[in-house]
Amino acid sequence: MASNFNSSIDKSSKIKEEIKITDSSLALIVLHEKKKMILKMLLEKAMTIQDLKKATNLNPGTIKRHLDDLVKNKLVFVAKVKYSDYNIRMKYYRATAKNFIINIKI
Amino acid sequence: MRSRNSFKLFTETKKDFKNSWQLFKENYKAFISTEFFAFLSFISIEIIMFSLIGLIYYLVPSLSLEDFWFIFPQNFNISFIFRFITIFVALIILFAFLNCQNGLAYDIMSSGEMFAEFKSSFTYFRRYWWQYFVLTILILMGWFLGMIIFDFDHNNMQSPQTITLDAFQIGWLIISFLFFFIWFVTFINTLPSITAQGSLKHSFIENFRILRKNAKRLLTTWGIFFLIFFITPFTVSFITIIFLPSLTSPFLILFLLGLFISFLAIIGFPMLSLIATGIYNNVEFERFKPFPPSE
Repeated sequence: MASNFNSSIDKSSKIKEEIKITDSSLALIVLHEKKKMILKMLLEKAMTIQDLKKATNLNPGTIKRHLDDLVKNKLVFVAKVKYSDYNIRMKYYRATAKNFIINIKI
Repeated sequence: MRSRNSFKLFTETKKDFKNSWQLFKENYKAFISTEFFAFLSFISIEIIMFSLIGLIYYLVPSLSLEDFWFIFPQNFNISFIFRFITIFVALIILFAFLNCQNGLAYDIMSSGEMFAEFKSSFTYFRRYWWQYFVLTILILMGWFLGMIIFDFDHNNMQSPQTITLDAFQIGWLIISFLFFFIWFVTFINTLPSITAQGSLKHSFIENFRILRKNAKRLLTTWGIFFLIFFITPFTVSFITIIFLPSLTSPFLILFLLGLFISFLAIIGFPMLSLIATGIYNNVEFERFKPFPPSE
């Protein structure tokens, strides 16, 4: 039973090389100071809210709200779910692409 | 073989406390805010109810204070309804909110986000308020039944200076504590189960499944919990009152009682929720909804 708990769901194959942002509302989300900071960290590797808290010094509630926004706009996704040795569930977030390019024509 | 099993048992208990303490330290704000809100709501409701007495008393001159409060009032109906509303509404809010800490523990351990926020308590309150209240009353019944078993001579309790305990009474006191402990261990797993499953019936069935398969672990972990949060402060208070009568004053008793309740409330209740949820997530038994939850 315990070994089942340590299983994880890995969706790293979903990561694209590049995403072009052409929608201005999406660009505004990416350019938001705190969201940009979180997104930048998630370009490199999958992180939990606790990892992001340590790296950014932001409140976990704030990070969660920004992540929810990023997930809703398909900029970030839950890449894997792991369990600690005490079966604490840990969601790892990751950016949906390795690069985001803003390309808006007016 | 037996010593290896008991070593494993203590390792698991150590893990329960170590992880719960770590998670409590990281999320103490959400837990303490929930408790503060629970106690504040309780006091506020009591104040509102007592203000209402004043208002009704002022508006209906034929009523007397006895109609509301004293044990055998002339107007029994008013007194009964008033007492029922005053006590039950306040207690529902208090107990339900205190148990929302199980929801916070669930957020930390099972949601995947590993943190809890005070505002989540309101979500859990909306979802499970009456279930939490019923389960708290059930668990506390063990305390009251224990007190009935421990037939304290009423006259002994009149003044702290006159408390004298003989070996027989101490024996009964220990039995009543043991009774409460067994009762507590028997029903405590309903709390994390109701939070995870959402059904009172399922929580009772799961509670007994956990108990049947993991009785030793439950007894060890909750035994240490009782030792830290109940027996030690209680014994210290009792020893002070009985063996140091010269130091005993109503203020000292109030101080010790306050210290005991604060210790239990600030650290004990959050630890209880975290340990119970930790045990629920870690032990092996047949669950209604699987753990880990599916994505």
